[in-house]
Amino acid sequence: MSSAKAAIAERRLRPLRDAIDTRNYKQALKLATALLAKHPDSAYVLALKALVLERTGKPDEAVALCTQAKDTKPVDDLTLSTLQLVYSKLKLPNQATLCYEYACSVMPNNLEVLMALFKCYVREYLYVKQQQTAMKLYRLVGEERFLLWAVCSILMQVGSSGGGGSKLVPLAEALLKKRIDSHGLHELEALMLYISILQQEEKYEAALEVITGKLGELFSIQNDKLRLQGELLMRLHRYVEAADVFQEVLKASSDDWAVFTSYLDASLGRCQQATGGELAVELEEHEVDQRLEKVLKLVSELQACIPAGELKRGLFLAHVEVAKRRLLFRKKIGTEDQIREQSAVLADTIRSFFSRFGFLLSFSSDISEYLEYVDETHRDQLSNDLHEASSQFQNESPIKQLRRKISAFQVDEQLLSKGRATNTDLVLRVTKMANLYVESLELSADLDAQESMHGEELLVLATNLLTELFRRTQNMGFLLEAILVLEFGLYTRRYSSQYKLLLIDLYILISAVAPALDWYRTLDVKYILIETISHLILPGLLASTRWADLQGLLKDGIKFYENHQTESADLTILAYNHSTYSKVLEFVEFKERLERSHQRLVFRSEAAMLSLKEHANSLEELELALAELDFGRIPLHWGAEENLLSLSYNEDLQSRPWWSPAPEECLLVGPLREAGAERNWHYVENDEERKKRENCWRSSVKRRCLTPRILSLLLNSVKETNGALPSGSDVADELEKLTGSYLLTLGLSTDTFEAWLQETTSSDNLFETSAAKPVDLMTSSLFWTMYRLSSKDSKSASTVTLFVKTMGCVLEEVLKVVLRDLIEGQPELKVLAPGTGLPTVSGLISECFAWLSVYLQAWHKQMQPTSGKKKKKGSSSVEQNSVSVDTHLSTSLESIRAEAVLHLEKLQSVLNEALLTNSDQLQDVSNATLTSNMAGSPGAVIKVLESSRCLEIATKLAARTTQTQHRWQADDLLRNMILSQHEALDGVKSLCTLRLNNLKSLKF
Amino acid sequence: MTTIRRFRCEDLLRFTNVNLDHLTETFNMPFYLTYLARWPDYFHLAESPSGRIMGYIMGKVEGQGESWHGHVTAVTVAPDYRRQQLAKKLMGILEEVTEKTYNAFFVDLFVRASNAPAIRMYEKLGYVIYRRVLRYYSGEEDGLDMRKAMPRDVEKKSIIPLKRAVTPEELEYD
Repeated sequence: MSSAKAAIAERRLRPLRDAIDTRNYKQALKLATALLAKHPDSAYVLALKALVLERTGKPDEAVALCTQAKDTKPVDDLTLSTLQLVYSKLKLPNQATLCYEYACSVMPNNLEVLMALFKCYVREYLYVKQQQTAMKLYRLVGEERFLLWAVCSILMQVGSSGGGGSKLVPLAEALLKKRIDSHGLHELEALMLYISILQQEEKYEAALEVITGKLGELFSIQNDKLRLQGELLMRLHRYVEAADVFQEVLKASSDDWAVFTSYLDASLGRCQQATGGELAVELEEHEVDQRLEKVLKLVSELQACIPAGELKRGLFLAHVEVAKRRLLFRKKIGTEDQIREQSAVLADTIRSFFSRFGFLLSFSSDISEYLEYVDETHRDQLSNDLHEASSQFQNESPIKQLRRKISAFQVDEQLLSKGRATNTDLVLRVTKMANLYVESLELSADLDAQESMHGEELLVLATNLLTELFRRTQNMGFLLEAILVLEFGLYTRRYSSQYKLLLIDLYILISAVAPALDWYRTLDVKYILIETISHLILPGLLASTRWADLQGLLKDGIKFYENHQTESADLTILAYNHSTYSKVLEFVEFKERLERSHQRLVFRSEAAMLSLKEHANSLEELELALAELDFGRIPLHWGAEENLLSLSYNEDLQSRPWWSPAPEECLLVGPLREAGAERNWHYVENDEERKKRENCWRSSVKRRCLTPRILSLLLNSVKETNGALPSGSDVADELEKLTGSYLLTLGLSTDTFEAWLQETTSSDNLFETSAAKPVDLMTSSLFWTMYRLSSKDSKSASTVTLFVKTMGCVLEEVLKVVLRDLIEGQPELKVLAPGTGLPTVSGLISECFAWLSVYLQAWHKQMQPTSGKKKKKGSSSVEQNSVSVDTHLSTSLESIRAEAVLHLEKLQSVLNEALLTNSDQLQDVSNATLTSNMAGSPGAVIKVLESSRCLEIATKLAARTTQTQHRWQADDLLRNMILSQHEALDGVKSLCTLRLNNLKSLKF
Repeated sequence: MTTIRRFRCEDLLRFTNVNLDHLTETFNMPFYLTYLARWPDYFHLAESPSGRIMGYIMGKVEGQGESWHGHVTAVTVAPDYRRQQLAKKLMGILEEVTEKTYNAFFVDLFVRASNAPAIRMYEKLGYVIYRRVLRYYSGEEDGLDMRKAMPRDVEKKSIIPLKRAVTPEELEYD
């Protein structure tokens, strides 16, 4: 078949292609148009012109041209590949598939076109069709790679078939086995895929046979093969052979910790540690001793082979691990005394490891797991011994000595119970840390600014103590001191990310969003880090009125996810092209994981919510914003139950400070403060807690996804005939269902909601006792009331009364907090403290009162006689008639409006007062207010850091990066922080004024 | 006390502690995925006993004839695991793959001319400055192309330093 291109001479096409390649699209468009004038049916030129149009932002015209080209049924490579490119950009991969399917039907044996069709299916994630096409290719030319393409496609069907793929894995195995029997395999990746299939089928014996046979020669790195061999032997419970294999690996690579622990497992003859930490082993004590001695003998031999100057800590930590295994064994069969005795042995091995490696930065993380096994009765002694020992290495360099002291402090955090120390003890300890930090600065004087300084962890440790002191005393001085300590650390070296992570959270806690955001930006969070780390800043921004910043962050996030969606298939194709089959499977799984990501859903739902918040000042604008979201149906779909149940949670919570283990969870104040007393510094949530948290996140994001649709339905309900929602109508049904779903996310039901609300609003301490947060409490009450009003329920009057009461209670409680911080607080420190104050007010104003105001506007508009209808001649009679005034309804609406005005006026005046106090504080601020000579008071650390000795060296260090001798100015930092709180207050106040003006302009 | 294994796609979700450090660049997804797809045996990570990522190395193999070589694109170690020869171990893996799997002539890398600590480290590992690349980094700072000969380059021809500096446009590979 002659190609479309053939009709046009190459010399005429070249300028067009050159113009496209050099991105001269204007010229390209001109050339394409001219060519088309002469050759109106040239599919290739049509495709090229479509490409130009797509690139110049004219997708509709591009689609039209592509369709025109497609209709000519092109079969030449150039036209097809150009069309594929454009369709891919236009996010219409199925159209490209149709083109290739046709071409393949015409030329069923054309390898290139078939390969291209396979890739079309990859782009569409159509695994069955991928498999069929790959098999066609395989049958056509018999190449190994095409069989592997088919096998990958089969395996992906297993992943997506939801348990229905039981026959697929054996099929994949059979295909490969047949190939191996006839041709062997030529790629290591192919072999690894085959092994993974056998492992999935638990055919370990067969897998072992394969890798120890001829195919094993595909491994170019011998240890890679041996590791796998050992693993398979363990699966087969052939422990003695497994131990021999692992021993061989260790001889070549003695620091490989995973292999060492596998070797230990094999030596003890077991696969897995039983749950609860007990050793699942059926051996007599002497047998265990014998085997462990053998392990230690190997360890000694390997230690003797370490070349001078090489640092291999695994072979020494091995002693600690062996002691732990003995302890676990004793725990199973021993007496209390024997267990204690072995715990003392474990502590000894930790002391020895400290003697050898206590100066390493990773010392505390290396041994952290083992500290948990040290018996309570040995903990104080071990801690004291390490501190003492840290001063006994006089022959070591001062840096190593310093590192040992830091390690001892780090071990304390894990070893000693947080609650036992008195406040004075803590202040004493933190002061020691500060003094040590000054020493560390002196030792770091010669370091390049790029390098971490020798004592950076000290300020992290100090911050942990200061925040605990704040938790205990609620004295804001400690919290401000923690902030200044971290700022000081960043003054001397502005790159430390661990300081930034803590500081961002502290600033967010006290509504100083601006400095938090500044530091966050220096972390340069982008691409995949958006998924894992944006939880550090996002909740803080969401609770503020800095909507431009929020929008920027949300936009970047959404763009990242969209880009990956678009690019992922091409990268999978790249893996196919390079025969990296393991990555084909990983890439597809990863793409799905990101698609199901909780963080992605948060970004999308919050962007939707932001678009509503930004337009909530006028009914018309909000309706337009809702229309953009298909009247809330789009977010509703995102939050559908099946989507929520498959969410993946990829947030890196390990980066968070101890006092805030998850976003919006604060152990320093409020309901979790007591939990903060019990948890140790390095507490890690257990599975049950994780599930509870994930449930909570799921509910929270579901509320966000429901809100736009509920709002849309409520506004719609106002417009329904005479304002009364006929029960059984679609709107009424959906509204009832969604309001019920909303309440369910808070663990409430429509039947009992009012009783629950009645009880909750009558309790003394609303926020401490209620499971729902204030904004959720008021929103749920608001939606419920609006729903009842729309249904013209006979009991709606009592619902309205209850809502008015709820509104009053919530605002009263919130204002109490703001007042406590700013007006009645410590006279010298009138700043916003952590708690439910300003972020809650912000949430109430930007959401609850916004929805309320819009809803009232809708009623108001509906009740206006012939309002806005004059221009429309011939409108229906329903539109021309105003709603007949329902006195009950008007009374209800008016009472809500009037109460809302009342509360907002009060809120406004409190915010005004708070702003004034805040301004006063701005004039007087000084970190002198922190400095107290009283034992157990805040200020001790800052006093050390601001000593002339420390300041002198810190200023020199600071000059390495700033190139100027700028001085440490704590007062400026505090002023900046208060200024940021001022901005936050002002932002909320402005929004409050807007709402107030809105509500005042209405009357029922 | 390190477990070195191949980097998997899901590890991108766990390397925050390494990548938040200012010396470590976070690349876009196609960059990482291209390396994973094309040179999976050049992309390794080191894991601590507690499962935390200590550092990672990514690289590639490219070139023709006697220029067939391994290239270190990035090697990075988390702040908590510095000063314990981890970079050396990671580089060792890459060199082993270059020698045993691909039988290439040398390994090379680029480093900022101002990054004295890194240059010293590479020199200790046997790398020599092969040539200077003018304004290699964002058109501002010079880069140094450092090389280490592999056993296949018996006469060590690949590492004889060039006398003149080159411009980024003159580089054979990206």
